[in-house]
Amino acid sequence: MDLIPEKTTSHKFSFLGKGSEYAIIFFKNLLLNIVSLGLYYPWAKVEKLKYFYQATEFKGNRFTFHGTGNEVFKGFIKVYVLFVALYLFLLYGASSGNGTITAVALLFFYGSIILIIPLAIHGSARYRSSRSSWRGIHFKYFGNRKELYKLCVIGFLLTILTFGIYSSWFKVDLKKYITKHLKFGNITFSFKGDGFDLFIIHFKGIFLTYITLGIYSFWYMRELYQFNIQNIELFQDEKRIKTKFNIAAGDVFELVVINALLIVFTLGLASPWVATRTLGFFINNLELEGAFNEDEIQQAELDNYNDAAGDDYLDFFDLDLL
Amino acid sequence: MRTFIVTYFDGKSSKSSEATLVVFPQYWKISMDNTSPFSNSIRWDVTNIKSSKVYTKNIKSFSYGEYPFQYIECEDDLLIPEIEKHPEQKKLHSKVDTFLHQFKLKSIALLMLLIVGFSAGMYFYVIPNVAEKFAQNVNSKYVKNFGDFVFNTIKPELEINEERSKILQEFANQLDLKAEYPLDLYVVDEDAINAFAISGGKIVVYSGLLDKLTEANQLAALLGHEVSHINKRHVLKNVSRDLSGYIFLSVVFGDINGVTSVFIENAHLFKRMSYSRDLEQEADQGGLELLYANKVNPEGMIALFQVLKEETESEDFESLKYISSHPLINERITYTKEQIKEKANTFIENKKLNTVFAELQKK
Repeated sequence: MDLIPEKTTSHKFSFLGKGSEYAIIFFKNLLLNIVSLGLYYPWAKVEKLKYFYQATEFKGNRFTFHGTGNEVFKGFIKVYVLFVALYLFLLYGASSGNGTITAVALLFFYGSIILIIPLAIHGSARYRSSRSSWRGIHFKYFGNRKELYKLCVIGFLLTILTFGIYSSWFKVDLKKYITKHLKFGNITFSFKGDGFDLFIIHFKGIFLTYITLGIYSFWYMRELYQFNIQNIELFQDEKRIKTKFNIAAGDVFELVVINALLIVFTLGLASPWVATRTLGFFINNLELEGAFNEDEIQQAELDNYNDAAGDDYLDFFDLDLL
Repeated sequence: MRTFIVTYFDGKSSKSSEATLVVFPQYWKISMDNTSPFSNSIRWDVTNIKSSKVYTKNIKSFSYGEYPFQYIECEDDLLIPEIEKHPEQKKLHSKVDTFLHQFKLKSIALLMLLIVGFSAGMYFYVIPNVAEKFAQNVNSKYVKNFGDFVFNTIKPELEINEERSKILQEFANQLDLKAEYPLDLYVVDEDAINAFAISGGKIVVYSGLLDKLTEANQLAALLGHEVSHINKRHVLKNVSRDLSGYIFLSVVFGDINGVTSVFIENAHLFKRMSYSRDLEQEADQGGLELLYANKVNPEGMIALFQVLKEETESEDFESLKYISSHPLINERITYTKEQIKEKANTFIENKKLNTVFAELQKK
């Protein structure tokens, strides 16, 4: 009996993680990492992600991360071998004593590191998506590696040629590509932002931050967060669902300043509390707006992508896709 | 038999069903409630159950089988103790986690204590010793290659005085310095009051220092000090200790955040300087022994320090003691004097040495 017309409703996310809970995981992993001289890192990473996912609730159910330490370890080894090989090549070039060979080796080293990034983004997107679920439904990234590569190379070159100005358009193109090729069961995504709008946000933000001696930076960050989040749209059975990220500049101020104070006055020991505070800020302020029906999502076909190398590669540079 | 209320998903769609769970040793039985869209009762064999393996209060989740996974969420904290009753289900929970989460802040304190204790042991004891052993045991060929590499890198910046270098080389040849490698000596035209040694047998003396010396035994003391650095592989020891300690600290604290890293890096610098002072003292002693072995007047070492003292007087503050790479000059004079006192003094005038020294100072 669908007599009542579907009205726009909002659905909130909540982050239920606690600093004291995460601190146990954080320090346990730190200890194991030290004892194993860093080899425990893959398992630590998986436990961290599992905790953050499981602490995230939407409409009464939690998210789940299905990745395993073994998968991440295999990726970690691949990335490690790659780096060692590149370093050895660089060292070989540098010790030759020949200026040209050294220059070529250097160019090859940095060139390879940059040229691998698009592959890593592709791999990371596929791995993370296939390992993430909610109500038993998995995400799936089905972008094409070649297309993404082309997009990145062109974007990168144009960014250099325009002294960085094109980076706004490049970032938006990248977001558009990734969201367009992302599915959650039969729910699809899109990013409706525009490169020019992002450019204006950066331009205005940097200019005003400068003349207000930094005070405007909190509004700048707020605009940037809202641009990145609120431009994402979901489609369930062709019905549009919007994302809302309702924050004030004061919220950003509180997050940033208290986090900084926590870190400085505890010499970093408050890191786990800072991590949960930060995630809480993003997740608790996030909502979906529209006729979302959590019972009517169909599982998509399997993408059992178990190669975590791309994800590990991005970790090396502290880049996180999500 | 205890029953738990769970939410069940079949992995094909996002439809949910309220259900009850009973845990048996070999399997779990999930019974749907009346309104469920799924069949009445499902059996999960323990071997195919996967736990989310992460502790969050009021939520446990498990998945089952191959993709698309069946999945349940349970809010009852008593489910874990129930699973713990069955040894067959060991993989579904972690005793360590249950223990740690039971004591919260106490566990955090315990973990921090273990981290600090273990890291301190590694950093202050294990790593420096292993690094030094390593430096001690590296094949001399590699040490020489390393030294040559370093020297070739800095060589373009040094204004080497070929003529004086040759005489300095001859001066060194008059002494038995017991060097592990053939020594290569260089005089560099620069006003600095300094000299340094590089692994594998290279010694550089700045003309600024050379011109201040008035006696052959001062120069012999200087070479003795630098050769001791080389013989004891001080550069290599310093580099391997410094690097391994630094890498260890980055692994431990790099993950936390920037502020901690800066703090730790500075502490590391202090420690490094303290080690460097130890090495200098060792080289002073080694140099003194070489003077005795060559029957050169050990007072040359004191006389050398006096030259350094005059030149550095203005910048030698007591407060710099802990951040300097070298011991304070007065301390060096004191400990050297004490050592000289302890030993019988049997030096003889070395005429040839004096002649070469005079020649060196003429140029």
